[in-house]
Amino acid sequence: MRVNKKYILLLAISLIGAIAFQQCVEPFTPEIKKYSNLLVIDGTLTDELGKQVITVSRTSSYNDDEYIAENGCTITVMDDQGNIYPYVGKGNGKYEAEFYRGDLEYGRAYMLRVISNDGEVFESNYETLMPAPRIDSVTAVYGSKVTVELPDGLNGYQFFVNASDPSGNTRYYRWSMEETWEYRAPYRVSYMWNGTLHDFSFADDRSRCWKTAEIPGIYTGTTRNFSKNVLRNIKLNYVSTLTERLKWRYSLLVREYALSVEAYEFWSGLEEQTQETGGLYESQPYMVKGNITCMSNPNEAVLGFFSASGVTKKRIFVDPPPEDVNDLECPGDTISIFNPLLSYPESSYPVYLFEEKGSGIMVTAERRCFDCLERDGTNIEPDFWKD
Amino acid sequence: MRITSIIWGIVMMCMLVPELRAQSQDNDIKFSGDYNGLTFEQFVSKVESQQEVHFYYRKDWVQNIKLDHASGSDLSMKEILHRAFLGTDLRYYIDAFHDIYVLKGREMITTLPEKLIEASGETSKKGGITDVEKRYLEGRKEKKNKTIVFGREHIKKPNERVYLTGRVINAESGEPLVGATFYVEQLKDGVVSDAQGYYRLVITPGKYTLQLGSMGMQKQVYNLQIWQNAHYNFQFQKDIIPLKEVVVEANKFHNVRGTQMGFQRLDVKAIKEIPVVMGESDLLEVARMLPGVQSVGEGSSGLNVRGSPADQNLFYINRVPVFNTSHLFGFFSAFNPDIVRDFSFYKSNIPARFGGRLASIFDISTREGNQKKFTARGGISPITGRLSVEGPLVKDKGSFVIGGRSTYSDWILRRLKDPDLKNSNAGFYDIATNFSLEANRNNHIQLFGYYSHDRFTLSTNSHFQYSNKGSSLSWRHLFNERFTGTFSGAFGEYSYANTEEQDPLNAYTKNYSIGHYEMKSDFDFNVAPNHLLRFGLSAIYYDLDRGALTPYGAQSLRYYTNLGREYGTENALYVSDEWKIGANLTVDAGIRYSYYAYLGPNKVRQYYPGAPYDESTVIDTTSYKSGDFIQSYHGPEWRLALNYLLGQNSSVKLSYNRMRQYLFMLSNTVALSPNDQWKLTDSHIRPQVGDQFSAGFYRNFPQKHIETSIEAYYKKANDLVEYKNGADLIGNRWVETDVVQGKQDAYGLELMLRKTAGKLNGWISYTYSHARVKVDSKFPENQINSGKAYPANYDIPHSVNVVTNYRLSRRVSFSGNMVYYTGRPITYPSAIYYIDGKKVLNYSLRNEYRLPDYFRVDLSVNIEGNLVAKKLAHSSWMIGVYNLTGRKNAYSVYFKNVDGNIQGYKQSIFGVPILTLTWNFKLGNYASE
Repeated sequence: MRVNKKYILLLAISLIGAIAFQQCVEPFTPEIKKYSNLLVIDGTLTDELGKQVITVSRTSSYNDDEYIAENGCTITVMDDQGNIYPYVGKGNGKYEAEFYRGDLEYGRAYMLRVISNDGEVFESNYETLMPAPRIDSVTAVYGSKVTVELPDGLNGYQFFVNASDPSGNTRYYRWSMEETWEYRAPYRVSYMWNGTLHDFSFADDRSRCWKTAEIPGIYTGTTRNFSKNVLRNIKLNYVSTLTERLKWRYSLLVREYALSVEAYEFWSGLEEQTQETGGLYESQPYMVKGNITCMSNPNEAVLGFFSASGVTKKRIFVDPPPEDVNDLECPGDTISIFNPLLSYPESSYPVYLFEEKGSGIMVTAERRCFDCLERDGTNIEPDFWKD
Repeated sequence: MRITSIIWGIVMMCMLVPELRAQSQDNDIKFSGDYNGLTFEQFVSKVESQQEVHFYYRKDWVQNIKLDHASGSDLSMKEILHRAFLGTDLRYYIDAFHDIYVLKGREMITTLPEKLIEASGETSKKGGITDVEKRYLEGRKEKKNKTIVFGREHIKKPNERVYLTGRVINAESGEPLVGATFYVEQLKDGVVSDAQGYYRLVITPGKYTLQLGSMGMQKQVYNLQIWQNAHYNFQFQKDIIPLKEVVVEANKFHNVRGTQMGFQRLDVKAIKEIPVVMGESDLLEVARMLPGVQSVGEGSSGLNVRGSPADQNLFYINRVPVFNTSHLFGFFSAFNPDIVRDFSFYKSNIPARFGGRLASIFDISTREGNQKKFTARGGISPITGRLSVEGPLVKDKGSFVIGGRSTYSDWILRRLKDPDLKNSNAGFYDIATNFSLEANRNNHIQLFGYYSHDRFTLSTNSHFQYSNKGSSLSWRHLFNERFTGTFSGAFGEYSYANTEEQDPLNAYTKNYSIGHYEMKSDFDFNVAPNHLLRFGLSAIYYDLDRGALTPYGAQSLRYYTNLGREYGTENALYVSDEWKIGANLTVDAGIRYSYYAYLGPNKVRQYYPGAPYDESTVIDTTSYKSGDFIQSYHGPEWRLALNYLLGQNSSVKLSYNRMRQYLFMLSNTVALSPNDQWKLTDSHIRPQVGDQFSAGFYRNFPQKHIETSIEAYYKKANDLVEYKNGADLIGNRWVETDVVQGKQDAYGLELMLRKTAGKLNGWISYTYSHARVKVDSKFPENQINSGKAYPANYDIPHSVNVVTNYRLSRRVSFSGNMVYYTGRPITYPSAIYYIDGKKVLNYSLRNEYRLPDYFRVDLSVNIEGNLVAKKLAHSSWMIGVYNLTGRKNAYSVYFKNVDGNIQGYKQSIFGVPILTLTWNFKLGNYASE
């Protein structure tokens, strides 16, 4: 009898161990009816000569999000020397100005003025252009990552940045990244069917392409609480083996900006709100206000930040990881009497085919398995690319 | 007779004990007069008019009796009656109070009362018997009421009240019983024993029927004859028939009659019957089931009482203040259920003797231990083990209890899927001990010690440790039967240490502590029978070390930052009078005057007048020396309560309360977290002052053991402290630059239906409430939500709690909870926009949306071991299922940028039913204490 009781107890305890605390996180789309339609002005004046861009857009609703460009604004940047730099609308909410030698000087302060379509005048505070310190290094560490949303874990590369500024110009940093990866089309095209069968090959190499994209996250760091102006192993993005990115070769370009305190508060506020888990032990989200105000109507809220910052860059390449990486799936369809070419509709033309080695059997697959350009990349090797 | 001659003595006489009756024949009465030739009735009439005697007899028995040889100056009643009854089968009996009973028949009197008077209700001509006595005499043969007599009737002075004081104790263990009720049938009024089991009954001398009740104890009815002040300790036996009367008898009339509103007292029995998630009964979990009490989420510490933030509650355990009441992220409360005897919870009109927090007072009492013998109890639940030992220090006078509790290990955490918890470890323990000594009738001393400790390490290499410790010594002294004083000293300290070593360059440790040292004297004095004066004073000294951020490890570049140490003193004087105005109206009016000073040594910044507190507006920094009064705040706190009885079973109550709070919690999270810090009010941050108005209607249905109540409240408070958006939480020495002060207002309606006894008991409560916060300022950076009022994090409009307990047999009982409430408010993004090509969220109005509603059902079965009377130990099993329906209640909803897209997630903690098994034991049998 006694033994039985103990057994029950053990069983119960194991059960609890197995099921208790299973935190459940599931995707959830709340119904958010209201939406505040606000103007967003965003741009960083860097120390790079040539074209620089300011973007003006509008907020969109949470449940129906899109980029809403605001064209037709009048945009100028002024510096504390009285120089005025007019911007020209390029469509899609982008406004460009050309900067020449002598226009962008460290220590000089710049401000942005935007006159919107409805005549409201928006001005930023003056922001002083500071040189960005050199990036010490960018590193990548292969390992697994477990998150609340993906409790089973991922494998991939975690990128880190190391930065320092011995000159002490800034204690506030921001990084943005651009990734480029190589990918390949697995099949070589030999024939093409578009109602009739042709011998076919591409004029250029469509087997190897590169794709470039902005990393969507916001990354900031500060040494304001540090006795030395040094940052080590600041986490940047994570690239998992679930995407094709790591299959052949991957490159990350890290840009580092030197921020003012205000710019740091703005960017780190946004970073927090898009990365934290919103649990009971985190703070309430709030409207992150930038340095732009509406001069003609102080009650009109406006989002965004105009900053002036030097930029430095560093690029890193990583080789394929030791484990398998997901790649484009290219199952082949063998052409036979049960699957004749004539059965392919016109909408699928051109149908690319290859011949299984020496067998004379023709196999087809999706076009993007033959032509890497079908996947939005470029087959022109980037200048910076190193094999 | 000897007994009657004991003046201060306490007489307990059972009328049915033959020995006593035999002796009673010695009670002769000497008198003089001429009664010859009178009928018996005429004789009675004449004697009763001349002497302090009462006759009890039946007319038809004495119809033919005439008196002779009944004349002279030294007549003996015994002789006269003996002669008169010669030749009849009548007998007589004279008791100690000169009551003369005429009896018929048997030689030995065994059922005296029923022989005396027939159902027709004939009484002595002078009507010396009350209706109640008559009812008692007529019917309730099986209820063998005891009679207790204090003093002699003839010493009574008309119109002067007398005091019956003493203690109520458990006969088996000698422990005091709290909330035992004394109900005087004739007066339809009564009193309740206090936290140490003391009671005081003010009464006109006379004969009464006194009903005594206490939770889980046998009900007792006494015939009370009281003619002078007296002291008497009542003993209760444990109710051996728990089927009939199980729970919570204590508030039977208290609910309607007391002036107290929004007051709950629950004993450990009620606490233990409620199923809980970790298989261990939890006081705070039970508190959450009461109307007007909310928490922001499962497994979160902190209670929100009537729309107030969690830092507005004050927890005392045996007078020791406890600053962090939770273990293991809030899954357990810091109070061991084996040590706790009961808790009293005030949320409406807080008595004048309490102060310092705006929303509520939890006054927790531990058990005092068995005064008769050594015993032990304990239990094992999935996460913790408990053991407590108790016994006499001095038999029947003093006792001790010591209890501890600990988690076994971290094994359970390793089975969790949450990566943050999986690689974590966590554990806690607590220990409490109480020594109690009743030196003599007038002096009672109690010494208490408490320590609790928590540690956990998260996978992010964050280490936390926190502990509460405290001790108290109290001495209760009865100056006389009308005047009692309690003198106590207590200290409580909360401290934590937090080490963050995830980033070696940023690694640091941070420590924190707050000490609360309190001296207190409380008196209660029945200045007049209808005036109970309570008064006292208290002095608190706060020693708060905000701690220092110290670099951790050789690589750390973190600056050393000392956040400073601060001192304060909070003193209060109070007086209140509970005044019974007539039969139906009771007013309890009081004032507490509190004085707070922020003391040196310290450094205080001066800011440019009229400007926001900011780095750029600092003019100067002033240094203060030790003992300097840097800043003081003071003011009256009014406490007013009124109870008007509408008949026997219903009443209307009104109350108004003002409270002042001189310390607050620095927190910007939704739930309390262990590294939230208490902070004293200082030169720049003002104390919070709150007012509350309540009105209620109470009605009891005593036959059905049902109590109902409706209470409505409105409260507002000023100078609620909130963090500014994006504030630096841990490293800022100058707190005033990071906080803003706002207004809080809340209102609500609470309905409660409670069944206090019977096979099925429990309660249903419904709360409707709203709580809003408004932080406005002429400086936009000091506004929250653009200066507009917003729902507080704990604004829960609708809440329903059902707590039931069904006792199938003495060995098997079922308990069930049902909890429903509106989801807590949450801030959702109002828009999406693009910055630097990246999608980000814009938030505008705070707490504009709500989480999905919360719903949960729990069930448990309690199986007691066998009922054999003689055995070494008794054990019981509790099988519980938490969240029976497996509903995935939302704990939070949040948004993340996933590969460039904003994805919303809903997080729940317990998405499945959770089975727990708990084993409890105690030495002794089923019924032993």
